[in-house]
Amino acid sequence: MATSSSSPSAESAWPLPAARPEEVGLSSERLARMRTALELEVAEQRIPGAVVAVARRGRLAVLEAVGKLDPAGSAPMQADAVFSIASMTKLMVSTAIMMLYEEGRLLLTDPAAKYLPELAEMKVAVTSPGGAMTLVAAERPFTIQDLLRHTSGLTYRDRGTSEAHKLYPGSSTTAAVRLTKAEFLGALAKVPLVYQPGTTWEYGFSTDVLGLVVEAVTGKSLGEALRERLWAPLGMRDAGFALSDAQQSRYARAFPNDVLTGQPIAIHHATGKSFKFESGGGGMVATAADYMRFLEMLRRGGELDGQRYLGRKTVDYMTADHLGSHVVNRITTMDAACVGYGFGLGVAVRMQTGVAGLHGSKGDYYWSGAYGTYFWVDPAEELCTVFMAAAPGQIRLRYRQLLRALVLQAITD
Amino acid sequence: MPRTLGALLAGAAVLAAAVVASVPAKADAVAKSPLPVADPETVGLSKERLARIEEALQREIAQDRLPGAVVAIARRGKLAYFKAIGYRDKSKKEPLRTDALFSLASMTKPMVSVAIMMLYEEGRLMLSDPIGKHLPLLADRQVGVIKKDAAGKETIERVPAKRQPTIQDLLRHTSGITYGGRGTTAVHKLYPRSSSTSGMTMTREEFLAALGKAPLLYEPGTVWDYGLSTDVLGLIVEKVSGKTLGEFLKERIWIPLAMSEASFVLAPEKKARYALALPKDPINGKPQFVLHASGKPLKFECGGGCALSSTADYVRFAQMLLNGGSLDGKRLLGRRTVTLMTSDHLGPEIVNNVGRTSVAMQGYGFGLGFAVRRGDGVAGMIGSAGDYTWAGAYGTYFTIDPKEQLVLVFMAQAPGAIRQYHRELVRALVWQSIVD
Repeated sequence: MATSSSSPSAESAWPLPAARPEEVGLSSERLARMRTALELEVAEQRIPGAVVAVARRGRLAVLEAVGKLDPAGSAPMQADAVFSIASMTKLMVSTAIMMLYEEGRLLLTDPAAKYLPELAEMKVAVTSPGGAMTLVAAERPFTIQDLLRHTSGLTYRDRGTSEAHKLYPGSSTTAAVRLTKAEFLGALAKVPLVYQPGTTWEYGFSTDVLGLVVEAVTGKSLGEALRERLWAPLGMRDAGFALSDAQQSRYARAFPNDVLTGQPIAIHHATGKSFKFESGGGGMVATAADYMRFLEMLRRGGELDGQRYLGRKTVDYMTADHLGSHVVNRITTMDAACVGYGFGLGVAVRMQTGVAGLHGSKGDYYWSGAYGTYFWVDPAEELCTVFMAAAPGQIRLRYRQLLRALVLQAITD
Repeated sequence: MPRTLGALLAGAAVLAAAVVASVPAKADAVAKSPLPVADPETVGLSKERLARIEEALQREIAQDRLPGAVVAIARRGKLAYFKAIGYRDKSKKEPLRTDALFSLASMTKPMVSVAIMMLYEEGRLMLSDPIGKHLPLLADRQVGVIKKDAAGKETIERVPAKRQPTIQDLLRHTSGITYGGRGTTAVHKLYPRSSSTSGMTMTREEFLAALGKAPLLYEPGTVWDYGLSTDVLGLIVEKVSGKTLGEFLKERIWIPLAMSEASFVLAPEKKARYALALPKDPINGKPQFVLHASGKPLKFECGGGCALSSTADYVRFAQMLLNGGSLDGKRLLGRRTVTLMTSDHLGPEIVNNVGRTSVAMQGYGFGLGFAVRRGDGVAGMIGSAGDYTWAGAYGTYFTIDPKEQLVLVFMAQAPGAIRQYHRELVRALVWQSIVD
């Protein structure tokens, strides 16, 4: 049952060697529960469709498509559908930064302003109980490490309602649609940080800044740098910042309205608008197979098919907790179920098997995209899962928990 | 690259010829190997990735940010990389060689800490001994509480320490003793500036008398702060052993480990191999000072920073520690003693300022003579939980990673703030080369 609904042509494009689930310690019978559960979600119109890929020990045990490619049409979801992956862009940019670190071309303790002088004089907002904002100097500049682990003090506009938040240029994709790179840097140079650098985990534009650091250090656009270093050698054929004409017929679309709030939904690549710069925080499209190749490279300690992208110690370092005891961990503001997670360099990292409100193993790491995509890697179980859906809104949190339960319960060895 | 020792000892005549050809010096340009040599790939290091070390350091050298460096990497007891890059004397364009000598500055401290632990193992001192037991001039320490009057003038109120600083406090830098150069308070003004200035300008009696007059900056055992603690340990080694620090280290560490160049004195016949710093600090343009380049004799052998050695010497010292206290059948320390030294000794009751001066060092605690990494993450540079490290103010650096069975010794005479950059750079370049 592992591979139903994948066309033969899609099979030839499998990202990894295939395995019957039983060959890699997974129960086919138990895995069938996943299809049943997702088909129910589709039937009840909570998601239009989804693609799930599960690999264990380097072999692909599941590549499934359920539901429809476009809720307005009749075409079924296909295994090689293209999705807007939003914040799942971030781990690729973080990986590119670590590749430059490995070459000695930047240090993690470097202030970001060393590469982006516009960001040299950042101020920090202090908001009084009455809501009045005053600005104080940053006690130290934010570093590359701060940007990787989200302790720069940068945020997104919709992460709060304070005066400081109102000064932020929206989210990663809205900023990249509206502003050129120079305008974006100019806007960021004026925003106040919402925390002193290095003190508090807070989600925001940090990875967009890292994308600009990649451009400054390599002299290439972010898309060129990622294509040259990751997408092309890994064979991530559909990865890109723009949705090509050829990809349109495979692009997965969302319901017109949020299933929980009824609000209209806009996914960037469905709008037909183009980016003015390539947002490292959320601008990419990719297939489940593309992302699986990337994850399997990380799971294997930085190498895939004989090509090395990162040293093993670098992957260990990225996937270790970097918040420690001195950084305020606000990761549950993203998802209450991820209590018990810390944050590494580009990914959330599970501190222990228990505590978290979703299934997993100590040391597993994950991130997700605001349009409904999700991944996690479980090094202890040698497991990678990619879930792709065009399902933005708070409903997406449900699929993260559902997928973890359905995949991990299928482990039988 | 033909200049590596590994290539030389591989025995291929054609390569050996290339070695000689590529090093514009005599056949003795390559130092004797401190450890058995291994091809990097056989000990889990990528040759292609190791090549990035030279690429990155050549960029530094080309920009006059570094005169040159010797880098040695051992894994699983085998020397996998040993290379001299750049210049011994940039002004004369004289290449650096692997047998160059370097002023170690604070990399003297781990050797003195090992000496103390050897005496501890013989029952000749206890870690809990108050330092006044061995150095009566330093009995009855007081803590200097700084008071400011209305005009902002500082005065020091001296109060008896709640407990006396111990040998353990000296080893982990919680004695309350600081360096004069680490701050500007009235208490700092009473301390000698640094270890090397103490060794150059004071006899041991004068040094002890000066310390005897200076109140502690903190209550003993409460705050990690860098200072003259290891210089005091050096004097305790002398007192307990009845030998000078140099004699003791030579007899108990340098000779058994065949650290043939380690010394407190740069002998005249070795000056031609001594690596020189760039004349000016690449960041602030100020003239640079390195102890043994000054030609000034030492008035006492300061345990905090007055030794020099070759790269090979320090590799052997570090490998002895990684091996749990022995090398080539010579045991200097018991295995559990090394474990004790390389455990974090800053419990939750001690303010940990190890990461205060460098974001890269956040996430490190401190053992008995080394900073010790608490986790894989948090620190602003790559490494492993349990790795231990220290560095010298003149630009030298070492790290031992027990989990990865790896020793890095980086030798350069590049003082000034840029040294911190070079430490983090070489860290990244070495640890990224691990591929097994």
